[in-house]
Amino acid sequence: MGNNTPPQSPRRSRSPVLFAPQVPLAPLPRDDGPPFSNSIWQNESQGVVDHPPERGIPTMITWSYGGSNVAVEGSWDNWKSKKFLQRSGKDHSILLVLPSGIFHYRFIVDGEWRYIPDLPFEADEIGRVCNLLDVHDHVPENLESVAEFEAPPSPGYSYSQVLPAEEDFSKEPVPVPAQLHLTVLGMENSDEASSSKPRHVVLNHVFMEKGWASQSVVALGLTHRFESKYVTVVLYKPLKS
Amino acid sequence: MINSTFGSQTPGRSNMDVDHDDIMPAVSLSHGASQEAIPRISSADLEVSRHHISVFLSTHTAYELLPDSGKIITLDINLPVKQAFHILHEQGISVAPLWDFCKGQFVGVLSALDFILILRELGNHGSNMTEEQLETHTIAAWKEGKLHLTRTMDGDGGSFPRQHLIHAGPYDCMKDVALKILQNKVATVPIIHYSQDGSFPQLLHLASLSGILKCIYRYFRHSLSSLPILEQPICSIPLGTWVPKIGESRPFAMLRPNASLSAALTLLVQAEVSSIPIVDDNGSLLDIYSRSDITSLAKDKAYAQIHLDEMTIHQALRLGQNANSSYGFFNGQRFQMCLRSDPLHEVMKRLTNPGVRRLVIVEAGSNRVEGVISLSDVFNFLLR
Repeated sequence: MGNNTPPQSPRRSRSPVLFAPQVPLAPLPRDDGPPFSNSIWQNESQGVVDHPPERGIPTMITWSYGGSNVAVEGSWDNWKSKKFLQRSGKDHSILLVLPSGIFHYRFIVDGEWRYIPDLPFEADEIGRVCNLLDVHDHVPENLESVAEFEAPPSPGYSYSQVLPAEEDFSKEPVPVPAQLHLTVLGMENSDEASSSKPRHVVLNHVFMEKGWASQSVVALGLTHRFESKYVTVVLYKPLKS
Repeated sequence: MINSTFGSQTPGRSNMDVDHDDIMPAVSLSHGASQEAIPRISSADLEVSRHHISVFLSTHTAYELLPDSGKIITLDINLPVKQAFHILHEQGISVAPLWDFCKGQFVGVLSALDFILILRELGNHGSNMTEEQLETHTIAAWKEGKLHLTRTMDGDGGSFPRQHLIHAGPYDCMKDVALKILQNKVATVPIIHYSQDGSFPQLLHLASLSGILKCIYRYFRHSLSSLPILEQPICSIPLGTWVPKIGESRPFAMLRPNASLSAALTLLVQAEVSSIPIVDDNGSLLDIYSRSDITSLAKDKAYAQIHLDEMTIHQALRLGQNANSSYGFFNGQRFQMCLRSDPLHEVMKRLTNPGVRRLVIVEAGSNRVEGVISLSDVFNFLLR
């Protein structure tokens, strides 16, 4: 095989830019807490443990359609407060720290309710339109910016290599490139959705469990990509002795 | 000692099904609890909530259930059952799709229920299968035998024999996937993408109600006012399976810790429930025995050395506790509880935690078991 390293792919995105913070930041106060107080649980030896505090994700909201006073209000605090955006040049923007989820929001530009038609929006039963904001806790892969989705052109030389013969199999195999050791296989299983993303270089290679020759069962692993998600399938197969 | 009988149960009906005749939003509470009237839900609220959820599920596809980078363990159908058992235990999973090399297709799944049935077969003296045969008995042979077995059962709570894999595609809407899970009474449905000519199946994900609920919860949690039904306390909704009051003859599966493992497995199979609360003499919750706990018997090959009648549930649970895998644990706890006064959205939030498939409803303070709410209860209610 030829060059295995993928070219660097610049990311473009059209939705509000999302960052993965290095340090968890405190989320905005939310008012959807449980109706009963937590003191009920303290009497029980096996009380319910609360969720770990949610990570807030810094999210930028930008208004580029003019106006002098631009504010935003949204479902993150149940529409209670208006936050004014900062103006820089022709754009107004604000950085909010929000937990992962879907939010509705709208702009108040010089006293009028407005929304951005280029971004996802939704109308409610009365006909008021709000924009929708989907805050992810990871940056979703942007298919259009990944160059190797395009099939590479055929190489210049001919396909005249012969199949390996018996004596070829007794030689030492070609050493595996270092990148192919970086597989997600062998990592801890978890139900969390956030397994680390596999490198593109290990895709569509079949990996075999180490030390398989002496056992009756071998594990084979393969990672492939489906649209912008990665799936690693491990198959346990019996070996005929 | 088994706390309930189930001989009179109508065949094929799950104990966890919502039963509108028996479960009522009762105002009269026992145990000296508060006598406040519980708000009845308006049918308008119910309709609006169900409509919103139905629209959401119909407009989002199974593709969104896939994690960014997921891992699925699969088994060759010619693996001996015994090794499959060990693999499931080591990997900390309770279900694995089965691959058939000859057909080049996924042909089914192996689940905890299969092991329960196998162990009961072993203990059944009239059976043909012995310990040694377990070494060589393949999954394929077991599935064949199971098909034959269920065909001859007289609807004694046995599930209908399945000859093909229940699966869904990545572009099917979430509503179809949820309905498939509910109607076939399975826990997971593999999401498989077939290439144009159907020759190369790509296994993508094992979809479960838990994942779908997580999507619903994530979408609606910041606009709960659009789903008024979520604010209701669960005791006021016909939801879940509740311990019957005195005078009612409806069965509710519970066991004492000194009951035999064989009784637990029988109860799991015949009552068609996925877990049994283990209670003490006062009815207070001690632990829970689930179908998936059967894989802990693979530790140290315990299944080879025990007789199901002689091992108690307490001993079986102790086996699992020493295992390193964190499967089925959330925050170090094997089970999750809730109160009858908890609102539905709080129950849903807890059910989205990984590994949690049901909540035990207990009385505050005494931990007496009042009922169980499972994922399928919630979905049956929301999708009706």
